[in-house]
Amino acid sequence: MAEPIARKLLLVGWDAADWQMIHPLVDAGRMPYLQRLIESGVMGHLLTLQPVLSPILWTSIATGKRAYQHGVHGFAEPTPDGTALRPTSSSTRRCKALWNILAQSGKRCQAIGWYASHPAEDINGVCVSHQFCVAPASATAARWPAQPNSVFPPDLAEPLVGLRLHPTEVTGPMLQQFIPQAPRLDQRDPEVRRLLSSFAKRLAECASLHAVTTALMEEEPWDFCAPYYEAIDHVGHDFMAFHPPRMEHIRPDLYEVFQGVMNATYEFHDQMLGRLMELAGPEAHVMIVSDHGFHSGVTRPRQEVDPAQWHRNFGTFVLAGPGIKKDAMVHGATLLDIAPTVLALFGLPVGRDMEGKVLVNAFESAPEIERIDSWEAVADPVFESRARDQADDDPEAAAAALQQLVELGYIEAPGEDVQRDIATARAEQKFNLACTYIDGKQPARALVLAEELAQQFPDQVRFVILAGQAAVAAGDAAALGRATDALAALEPQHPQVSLFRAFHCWLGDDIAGALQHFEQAAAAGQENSWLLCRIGRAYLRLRRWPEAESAFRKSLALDEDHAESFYGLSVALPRQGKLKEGIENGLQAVALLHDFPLAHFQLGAVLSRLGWYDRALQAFDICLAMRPSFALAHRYVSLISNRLGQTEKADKHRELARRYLAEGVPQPAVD
Amino acid sequence: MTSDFVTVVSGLPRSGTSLMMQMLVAGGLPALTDSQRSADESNPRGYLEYEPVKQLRTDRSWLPQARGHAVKIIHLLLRELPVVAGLDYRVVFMQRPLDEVLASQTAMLRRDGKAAGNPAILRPAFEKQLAQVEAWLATRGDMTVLPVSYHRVVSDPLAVAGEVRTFLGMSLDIDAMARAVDPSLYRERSNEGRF
Repeated sequence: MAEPIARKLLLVGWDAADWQMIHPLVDAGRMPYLQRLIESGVMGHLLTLQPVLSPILWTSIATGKRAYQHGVHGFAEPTPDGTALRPTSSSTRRCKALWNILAQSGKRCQAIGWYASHPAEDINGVCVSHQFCVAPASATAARWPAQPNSVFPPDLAEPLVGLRLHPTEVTGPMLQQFIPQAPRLDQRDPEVRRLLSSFAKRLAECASLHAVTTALMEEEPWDFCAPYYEAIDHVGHDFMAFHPPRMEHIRPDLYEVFQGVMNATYEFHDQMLGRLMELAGPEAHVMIVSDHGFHSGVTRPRQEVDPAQWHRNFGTFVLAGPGIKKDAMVHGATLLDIAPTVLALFGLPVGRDMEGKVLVNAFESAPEIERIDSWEAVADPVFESRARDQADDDPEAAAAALQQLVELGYIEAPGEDVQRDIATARAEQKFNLACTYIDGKQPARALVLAEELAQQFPDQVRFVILAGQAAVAAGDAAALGRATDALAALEPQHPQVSLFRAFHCWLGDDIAGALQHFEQAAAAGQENSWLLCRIGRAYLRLRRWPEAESAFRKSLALDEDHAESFYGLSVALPRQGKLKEGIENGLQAVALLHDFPLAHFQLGAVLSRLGWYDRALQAFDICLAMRPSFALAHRYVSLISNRLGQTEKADKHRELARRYLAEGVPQPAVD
Repeated sequence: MTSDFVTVVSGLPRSGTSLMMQMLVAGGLPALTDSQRSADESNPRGYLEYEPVKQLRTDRSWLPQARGHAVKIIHLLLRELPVVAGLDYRVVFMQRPLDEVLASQTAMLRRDGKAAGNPAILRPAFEKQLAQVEAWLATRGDMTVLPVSYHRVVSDPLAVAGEVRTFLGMSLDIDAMARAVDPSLYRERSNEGRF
C-alpha cells in the first residue's frame, strides 16, 4: 500500500457552487473561510458530466464512474414491484462508493445526506440518508419521526432526530438574515408566499444537515466525513433570477427585496464551512466539490426552461491540507477525478475501471499511485450481501406476484396515473442514460436508446432531438436524416431543425452548406456561445481565419469558460501569424477541458513551429495518451524526435503513423 | 376493550390471516372492517377486511380509526404504514408453508374463474418478499411482531390464543378464540396443498 497523505479528509459537497459567484464574494472578504482554504491549498474548475442532474453527478463523484457504470439514472425510479415511484435508492447503485471502499479498508466513514443514499448503508461509521432531513408533508415540528432506515447504525437515529429544524420552525428573524426586507413583503401575493415558503424549506433542510454533520463530527470517530449540502442549487432555482443585474422580466419590487439572497446563501455556506474546518482540525485535509455551476450573469435563461438549463458546465474544486500545494491552480479536473484523488490521498489503489485521474498537480510532490483492476473485485461481505439482495429483484417475478395479489383482491392495481408516472420515469431514465453514453463517447449505444424512445413516444420532441444529437455524435447521417424529418414533421419551425440540417451538411463534408444553416439559426435568434463556436469551427474548416477568430471571440464574450472556443482561437490565431497568442488560448482550452486531444495536438503543432520541441513533445504525448491511434500526432513526434537526434523514437512513431493509416483507423478531422 | 396501538394481522394471502382475525374478534378485540367482501366458499366465515387498506399507499386517513382495533394488512402493504409519533403497531404475522399458500391461492382464483400465476415464478418472488418484510420489520422501532404458525393454530388453538393474548397484553377470551378455529375447514382445504 502506498504511504497515505491524508489521515482525515473532510469532503464537503456544495451542489451548484460556482466560481462566478464565489470570486466576487471572496475578493470582498465575504467568504473568509473559503478564502483561507484557497490560499492554503489548490483550486480549480471541475468539469461536469452530461446530463447535468444531481443524483447522477453526485453518484459519479462518489464512485468515479459514469451513470452507465454506477446505475443511478435519475431522481426517481419505479419500485421493484412496479407499483409506485420512489427516490432512487442506494441499492440501485451497482458499484462501491468512496464510503464503501474506505470503510472496507478500515477507515471510519461518515456519509451524510447524499443523493441515492436511502436506505442508509451498513458501513464502518455512520450513514445518514438523503431522506433524513427532508420533512414529509405529513410531518409537523412536534411529530416528525425518523424515516425507517434513514440512519445507520439505527440507534443513532433517535439522538439525531431532535437536531433537525422543521420548515415551520424557521422564524422571521432567521429569514431576515437572508432577506433583510422580508417584513416589507405583501404575503397575500402568491408568488411572495411561494418564494418565502420554498426558502424556509431549503433553509430548514440545510440547517438540519449541518446540525447532524457537526454533531456526528463531534461525537463519532471518523477518518472520512462527507456531508452533502444541496441549498445553493435549490435556492438558486428560486432566487438566481433575482440576482443582480436585474433581468428585464423580473418584477422591480421583488428584485429590490430578493437581490441579495444568493450572496447571503453563499456567505451562510462559508460560515458553516468555518465550523466544519474547526471541527476537522488543522491536520485534516479539506476538499470542496460542486457537481456543476449555475448561470448567474448574462447567460441566465430569460424564460421558463428545464431546470437543468440553469446549470453551468463547471463546478468548483478546492483542496487543502498537508502535502497539498499552496495557493495554486489545478487545471483540467472533472467530476470523475474526485474518487481517484481521494483514494490516492489515503494511499489506496485506484481502480482501472475508474475513468478519471488522480489530480497529481494538486500535490507538493507526486503521490505514489497504485492501481488495481477494480474495487468491485475486492471482497467485501457487507457490500456483496447488498448486491445479492439487488440481484434477486427479478422484475418479471415481482410483477407476477403483484398481479396475483391484485387478482386475489388484496391490493389495488396501480392506477392509470401511477402507471403513467412509472412509464415517464422509465423514459427519463433511458433518456438520461442515452445522454451519458453520448458524453462517455459511446454514441452508437446512445442512438439505439434514443431511437427506441422516439419510436415509443413519437409526439415527444425532446426524444426526437436526442436521437438527432446521438446521430450527430455517432456520425450517422442516415439516422440524423430520420430524426430531422421526424422533427420537421412534428414542429417545422423548431430551431433544432436548421441545426440538424447544418450537421447533415457537415457529415457530408459540405462545410459551406453547414455554415449557411448555422448562420441562419443564429440570425433567427439562437445566438449563443455554443452556436457561435459551431460557426467558428466551420470558418476554420473553410480556412477563413479572421472570421473564425471573430466568431470564437463572440462566443467567449458570452461564456468566458468555453473551452472549445479557446481551442478555436488556438487554431485561428497562429494561422494569422500570432503563434504565442495561439498557445495562450490553447493552454486555456486544455486547462478548462483536459480531455481534449485536438487541443493538445494543436498546442504541440504551434509549439513545434516555435522550435519549443520539449514542450511540443509533452503536448503530443498527452494527445496520444488520449487518442493513441492519431496518425498525424505520431508523425509530428517522429519529425521532432528526428530533429532532436532521437532516431529510435522517430522510427517508432513514423511506423505507428504508417500502420494506423494503412489499417484505415478513423482519424480526427484536424482544423 | 381499548388499547393505544393498532393490532395488525398480516401475512401472505391464504396464510390464515382471516382465521386470526376471526379469533381476535371472538376473543373480544373489535376489527376494523367494512364487510365489503362477504363470506364465500374460500372463506366461509368471512374475510374481515377493510377496503381502504388496499389504498394504503395513497390514503392513510383512516389510520387513526384503527387504534384499538385489529386490521388485516397483507405483507406487501406493511411497509406503507407510516411512522406516527405516539402510535405503535403490534403485528401478528401468519406463517404457512409456501406451497400450501400457493395452492390455496390457485384454488381460490379458479373458484372465481380467474387465472392463477405460475407457482414456479411466484414462489421465489413471495419468498423474497417475505424475507424483505421480515428484515424490514426488524428495523421498525414502532412495530413488534409475533410470528404465528397456521398449522399450530389449527392443531393447538388454545395455546396460540394464549400467546396472542400475552403479546397484545389484553384480556382476550382465549376459549372463545380457540372455538373460532374449525379444524374441519383446514382438513377440507389441505388437499389444495398439492399442485
